[in-house]
Amino acid sequence: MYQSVFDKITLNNGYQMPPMSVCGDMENSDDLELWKRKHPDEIPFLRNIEEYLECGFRSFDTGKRYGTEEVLGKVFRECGIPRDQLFITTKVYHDGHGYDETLRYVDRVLQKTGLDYIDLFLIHCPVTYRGLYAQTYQALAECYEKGMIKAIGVSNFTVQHYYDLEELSGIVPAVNQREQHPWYVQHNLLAYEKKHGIIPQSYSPIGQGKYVNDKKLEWIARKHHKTIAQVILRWHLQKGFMLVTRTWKKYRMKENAGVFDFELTPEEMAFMETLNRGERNWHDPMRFPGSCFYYPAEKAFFETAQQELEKRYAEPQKRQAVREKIRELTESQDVDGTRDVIIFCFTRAVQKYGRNEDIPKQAADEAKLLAAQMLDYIESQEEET
Amino acid sequence: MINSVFDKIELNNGYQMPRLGSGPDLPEAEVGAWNVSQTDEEIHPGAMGFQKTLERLIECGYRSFDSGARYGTEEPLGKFFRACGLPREELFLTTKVNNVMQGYDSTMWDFEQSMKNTGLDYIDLYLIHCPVPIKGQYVDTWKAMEAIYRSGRVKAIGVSNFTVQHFYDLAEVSDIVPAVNQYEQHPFYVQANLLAYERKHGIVAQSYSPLGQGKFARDPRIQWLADKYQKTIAQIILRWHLQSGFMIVTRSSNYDRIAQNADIFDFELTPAEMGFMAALDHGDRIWHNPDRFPGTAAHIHVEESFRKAVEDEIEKRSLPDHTARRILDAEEILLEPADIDGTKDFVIYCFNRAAAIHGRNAKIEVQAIEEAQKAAAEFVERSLSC
Repeated sequence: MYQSVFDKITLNNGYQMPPMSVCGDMENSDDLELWKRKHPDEIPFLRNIEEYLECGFRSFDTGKRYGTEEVLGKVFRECGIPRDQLFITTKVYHDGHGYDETLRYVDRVLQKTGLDYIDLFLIHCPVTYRGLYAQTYQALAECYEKGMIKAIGVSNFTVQHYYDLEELSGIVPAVNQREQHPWYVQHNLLAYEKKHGIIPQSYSPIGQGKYVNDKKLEWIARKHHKTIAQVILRWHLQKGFMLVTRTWKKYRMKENAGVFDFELTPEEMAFMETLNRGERNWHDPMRFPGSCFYYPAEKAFFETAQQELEKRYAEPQKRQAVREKIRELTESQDVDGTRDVIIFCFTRAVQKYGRNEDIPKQAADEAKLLAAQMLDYIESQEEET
Repeated sequence: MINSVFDKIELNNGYQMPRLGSGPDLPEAEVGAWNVSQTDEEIHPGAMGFQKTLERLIECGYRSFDSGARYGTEEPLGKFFRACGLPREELFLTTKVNNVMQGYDSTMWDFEQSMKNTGLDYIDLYLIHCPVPIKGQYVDTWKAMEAIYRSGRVKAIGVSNFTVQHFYDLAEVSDIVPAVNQYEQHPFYVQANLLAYERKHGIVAQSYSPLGQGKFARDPRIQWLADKYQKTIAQIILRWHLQSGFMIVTRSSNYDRIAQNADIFDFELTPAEMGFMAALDHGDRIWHNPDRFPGTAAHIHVEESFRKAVEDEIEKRSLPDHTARRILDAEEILLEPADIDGTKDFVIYCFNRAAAIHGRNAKIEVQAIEEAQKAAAEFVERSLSC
């Protein structure tokens, strides 16, 4: 088992990777340029990375959405640590799926970061409705063979997506980065991954901090003189998973790095095994179309609903009652706030047009249609009563 | 289009099975004391006796009956099959190996019991009731199932409550792919990863608790579909199962509901409506998590051993009353079921702990009891120290 923060895990293609990565997130900003304009004098994220390096972290997780690729590249080139001791993971974003787009994107990342190669390239999310993940993967495989990428993997994938990749033949993904913690272990998926030597990399390893005060784990933490968060992180390592952590505070970085000097006993691991409740905190990747597609569809739905409401009802009281009814029918049932009704717009678009590139636009159109239909339905129900 | 209750699905070995099945419980009055304390009337108002239920099921077109060694319904079902006047090949009987009878020889024995109970020449479908992964015997059990299948006395073999890992383990030792996996499934609990495996290998999913134990039968979001087709929400959900390619096991013994559940063959949900149903999955499991559940009896035994050991520990140390009470209160908190089905985490912990030490094996229950006793001593120790 790991003894130090510098230990590495061997991926299924022989490449080595540190088991614990950190995610550098440009908080609330997708665009580094914009961020720089707002804060011309400081790049706190840069300082953040330096603190991480001091704490012994060598693996950094990024993606187009986080806006940190450029900064990370700069640090990698200038920090003085040899490139082969550093590790960078980045991802193809939802709107960049497709064979040609991905090839272009890999080039652009290499340019932006100024690096000779990227260690690990992932598909951020399968975006099942668009159905372009296989092509995207093929492009990544090509870059892998050219040596621009040292390992390729996926994120938020499920067994069905793996099967689709199997048909392409060739390279098995090395990593699947997905939500995982003792309270959310997907046995069916893990079984596939174990069989094919795919290493899961857990994001939200402590469930977004939701469980750091879980009384049930206190006795283990006390026994090892560790925090509950450290006990949970250690569980991941002993299960053979990799981790992505994220924090802005240096004492937390140290806390996260301090999980290499103790070992949970088999009894304690057995105790942790009993915590699984299927408690997902993030999107269900099987149905979530990606934020950049979901929110426009949601907006289209509620805007249309509002317009229809104003058109059909003059009385403010009546409007309020109908608005209430709409709220009831569109309420989110999911822990991550995803509204079933918006997912329906996507599945309906897929039923009509099949999986295709333009699904997000088609789903937004369906959302407008559906909003009108919902008001029809509410009207018809009222007539009955 | 599935438009008749008599419509069948072809299993991966070519055998045909009705899509709609029923596994009614034997009312308590007819079985002596089963493991329910209420009378059947209290649990299921309007429930009929077993014989009447079966007659009503036949009348409404049901031909597939679900049983299991532990339900106590094999014998009456067998009798009914022989007496009802329908040709045997029109009827379909599923039964299952009892969890405590897993292992090669005991499965063989349990099968003979089932044959004796039913008094039939053959059983249509024979399932492993639950993998009970902590015992790790399902592979041996499967080998026995294979031998039974080859003898021709069952027409198809399958599993119940299996996950992908268990399928992989069977695939390593056997060429026979299970024909059916019976497990909890409804629009609110769809295991996409499992379904992907099953689709790839031609395993038909059979949904038990198809309506989520009635929990979702009033979901207002499905009302518009019910209105549109002049059906109940329950009927819309059952239709969803059929159109998704699943088989269904219902359990009702209510005269009207039996008919309602079978009245789902005269309408069809549109692709868009199926798309709507697909948006309802939130992983809402209602029954045991088969990946960790050790079986009802084993669960009870270990819990009782733990309680007993705590009492012994208190007695041994001759603790004063108020301290003893404090410990017993803490024990109740520790044993609070954390899972929706009432499974107690602490009991599962005793099993996991035994498995961590001895590995998964057939004697795990005894070892779990030992671990429960050790854990009880540790627990009392910890309670006293704080």
